[in-house]
Amino acid sequence: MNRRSRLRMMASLAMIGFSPNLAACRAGASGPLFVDQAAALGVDFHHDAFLSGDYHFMEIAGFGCGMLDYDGDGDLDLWFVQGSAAGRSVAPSIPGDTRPKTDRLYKNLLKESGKLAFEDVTEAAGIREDGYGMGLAAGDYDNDGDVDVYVTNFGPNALWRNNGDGTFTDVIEASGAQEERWSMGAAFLDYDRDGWLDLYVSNYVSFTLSSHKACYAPSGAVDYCGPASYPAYSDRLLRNNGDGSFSDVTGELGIGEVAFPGLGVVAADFNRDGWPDIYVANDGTENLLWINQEGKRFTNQALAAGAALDGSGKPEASMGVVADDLDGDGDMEIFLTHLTGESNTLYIDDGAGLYHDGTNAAGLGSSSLPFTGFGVAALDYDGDGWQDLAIANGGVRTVDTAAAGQTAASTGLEQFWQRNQLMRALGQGRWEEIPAETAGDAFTKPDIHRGMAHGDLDLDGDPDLLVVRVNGPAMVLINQQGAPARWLGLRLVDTKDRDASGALATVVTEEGRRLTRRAAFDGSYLSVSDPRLLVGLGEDSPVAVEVQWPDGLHERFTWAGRATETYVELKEGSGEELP
Amino acid sequence: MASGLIGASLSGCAKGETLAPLPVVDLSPLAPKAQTQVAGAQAALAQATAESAVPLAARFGELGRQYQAYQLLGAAERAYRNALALTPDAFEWRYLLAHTLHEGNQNEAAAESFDIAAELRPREGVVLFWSGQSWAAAGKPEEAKKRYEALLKDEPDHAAAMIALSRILQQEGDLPRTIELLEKARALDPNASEINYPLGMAYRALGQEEKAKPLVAARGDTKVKLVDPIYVDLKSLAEGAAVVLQEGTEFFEKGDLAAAERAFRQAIAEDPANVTAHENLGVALTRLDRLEEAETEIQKAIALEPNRVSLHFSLGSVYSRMGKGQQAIDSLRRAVQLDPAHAGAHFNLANALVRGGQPDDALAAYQRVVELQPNNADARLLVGLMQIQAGRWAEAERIVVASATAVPDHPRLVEMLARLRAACPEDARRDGPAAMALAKRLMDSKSDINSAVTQAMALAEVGRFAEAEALQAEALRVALAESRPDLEASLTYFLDLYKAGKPARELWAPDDPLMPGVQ
Repeated sequence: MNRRSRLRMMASLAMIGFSPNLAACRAGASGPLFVDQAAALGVDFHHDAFLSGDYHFMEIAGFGCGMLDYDGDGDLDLWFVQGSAAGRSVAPSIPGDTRPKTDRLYKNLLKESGKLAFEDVTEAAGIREDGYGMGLAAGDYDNDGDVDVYVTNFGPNALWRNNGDGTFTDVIEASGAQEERWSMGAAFLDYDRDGWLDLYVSNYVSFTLSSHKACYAPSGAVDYCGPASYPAYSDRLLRNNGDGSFSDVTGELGIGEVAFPGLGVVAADFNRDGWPDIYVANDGTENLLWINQEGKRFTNQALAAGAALDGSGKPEASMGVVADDLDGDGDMEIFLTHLTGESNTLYIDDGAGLYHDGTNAAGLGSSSLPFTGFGVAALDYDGDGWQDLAIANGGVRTVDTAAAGQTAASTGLEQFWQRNQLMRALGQGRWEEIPAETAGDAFTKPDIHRGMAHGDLDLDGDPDLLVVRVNGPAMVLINQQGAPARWLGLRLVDTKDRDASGALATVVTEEGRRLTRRAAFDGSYLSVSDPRLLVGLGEDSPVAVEVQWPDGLHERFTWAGRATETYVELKEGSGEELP
Repeated sequence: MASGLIGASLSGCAKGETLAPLPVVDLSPLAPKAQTQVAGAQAALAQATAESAVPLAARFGELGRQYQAYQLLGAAERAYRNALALTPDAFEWRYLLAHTLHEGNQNEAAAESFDIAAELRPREGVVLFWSGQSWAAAGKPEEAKKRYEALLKDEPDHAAAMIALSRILQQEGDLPRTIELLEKARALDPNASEINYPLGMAYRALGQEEKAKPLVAARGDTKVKLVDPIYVDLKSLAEGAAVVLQEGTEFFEKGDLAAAERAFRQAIAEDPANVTAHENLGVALTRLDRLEEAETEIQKAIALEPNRVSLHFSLGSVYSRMGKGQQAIDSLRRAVQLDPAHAGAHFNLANALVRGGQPDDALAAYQRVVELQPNNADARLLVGLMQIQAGRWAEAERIVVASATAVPDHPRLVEMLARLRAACPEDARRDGPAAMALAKRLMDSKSDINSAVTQAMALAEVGRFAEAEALQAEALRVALAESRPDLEASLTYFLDLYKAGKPARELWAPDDPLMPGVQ
């Protein structure tokens, strides 16, 4: 932490001392914090992993989910990634569901009806995505004012262009963004700042059905393989040509220099030079921090920056990733979810582009040891201004269940079941686990959880969660806390009228707090979240919002005369420019 | 199993404790030998109804060890607890119970159990170490710190304790003491990455980047040695093909091929249908240059699993080394047919096709490698070379320029481009000043015979024949001094040209050993 950050943090801590614990006062504080309302809201998506019984690697490795406003009506719709037979003679695992096995899109009817409910519009939207689905990336790549979706698959990927009329068209062939290798994470970013969103795709390993081999647990039982069993692929960077097509610049820009099993991806300006960088969570190997050399090349500086390995110098099985100001000092921490026995990892940003492993001191180490973390969300569920963490857990090896304190009595999927976790921020860069019973059923019942997305589904000022499970029904977790007395919803819109994914906004309050948040579609595990920011203020009030835009512009928007307890749009170029 | 004992209350139990029922464990997923082993321990316990407390406890304890060895942690815990109900002061069962709990991430319970074990054997330093590890994992670093400090008081050279304590101190921000401890540990074990990396990070946090850099770079997963015979004995219990296979793989990775071969053969003895064991044995035998045996093992594996790509890839390598070109091509074609994205198989196939005199097919295979791995400099180099050899100069230029851009620091690509600019027979492709700049860059990065010959070629192209001649003569002198008589003819070939005031119009001399090629 640099001197300025430390001063800022001390100032904000001083103010916190006077803030009442609002979370405990609000309605619903005595009941569970989150309640799964998927069925009641009309969300009947059920993932099908098409389990072969042969422990094919991809069955256990996926998959993500998305919250995005595809129809631009102001509320969040849901995109679910689905499995498939993937060329095998495998019957669907879920009986009774006769709908085609494809990714599914659910439209939020809140704006139309005034009531939160969802309707499956997959067929009407023209979506027929029958690859073996892994992950999602979202962004308006064609600058037509609506959000498009890139789907990574075990097999060829897809690019679903939003037609702006409620339908999508797969334009992957014409776009040149094809990737036939096993892809996992992806993120849109404008790395060369030419006004067009480029695309980074993290690739995993060279497992194919024909190269499948048997792997074993320590007991000698057949188990799923890990990434070390197959050679890794290099990731891919695709430059947007501005005409609907992409060019592969992987080699030219240095991305192809290494090949690691890539999973979660985030794009953010980690070194604060005004150019978006890329962080990749790699499975069992060093993580990557691609520092953007002004759009001309990327160099991996993860090791030099201290964000490649854990504190003892050991690579970990990184799955999900969050990049945000987690300790409230204005810079950007990186939080990663990991394999059972490794603990999740929090890299603390010292404000000068260097990181250190601060996991244990933050209280995030021991509680995560029994679990294999995948999806992760930084969200202020109780509106106190500090970023809490929700983590979706689920095993990948039979031995993980035993390590999580459960008895592996079955040879079925229960062997991989683990429960989710909700970590409440205490401030000062420390967290504690909320008892699972308090957090709700979604945190007590074990399952094979994977992707997680966050956003305010009911637009009530508190964040909700979407969690998906391997071979299980999706969970729509509605926050029961209710909004704090004061909150601010921010939609950051760039000069192309797009959500400014990667922008950093700092809300300056009357009490002198500075609450920094990163607006982003990307992060978590192969998932897409709402890029709008939801900032809980307790009983404090905003004075101004400072925005660091992805293209380097820094602006201040004074809050006098602007609304709170609602979503407000801030347009790039309309604020007061800061140095 | 052991029905006579389940739930029984024995007079030998301490403080009126009863024996808990053991869970029924399904052994069917275990490897056959492991099943036999665990079933033996179960049977031994089942026959022990009439025994007194100590031998009965030993049978519970032994069953606990078997369960723990195969990661059946819940069952192991119950078995150990029964052993301790019968013999509460038995150090071994207490210690292994603690390890079981630690492995199952029940860290606070593990720490308490280690602490009881430490009371039973106060001089056993490793118990304090594990107690510290469990307290730290339970999120109680202050308790862990006490154990590590107590251990270091008794055993001041306990490197593992120094590292563990330093981690807590680093989290507390006490960097001077962190560094002091890690430097001391490093003096005891300089190669342990678990010392070097955190030490580097501590120096970096103090702004001492020069000290930090090499230490951080020495990352890895090398741990200091920890003497823990009871736990090591337990780990050695686990048998079966999977475990032996894992050991074999570790031997192979360390380069101990003889030990790897033994382990893989043992794995096959345990499980003759284990494809990976046959495959790994085949790969180890290839490395040992016992190619016919390798072929046999890989063929056995293919008979068991005909569509595993890696088998055809490995078999292709064996055939290549045996000089069986067509069989190598057939195997590698099968590999790429099964996995069209297998860059290594495409590359080896291309090499085999070159050797088999099928340049067009080889070129296509190399180009596929470049598509799959844009930064594969070797493949790019060979694509360029094949175009040059075919005299397709425009295509060669396009490819070599693109390759030198995509992989800018690869000396052989820079060399190829420099030679193309200096000596291409087509006038339009040559560019003397560009060749000079590239040759200088090459010489700056790597001053060797290749670079000198390339620079001489560039000098001749810009008309500086005397300098070209001198440099070429020097290259020849160095080659002979370095006992490379094979280079004499090609170096003399160009030297004679420069002496006659002629530039080179070939990138390499006839039969030039310096020409890149398939290994």
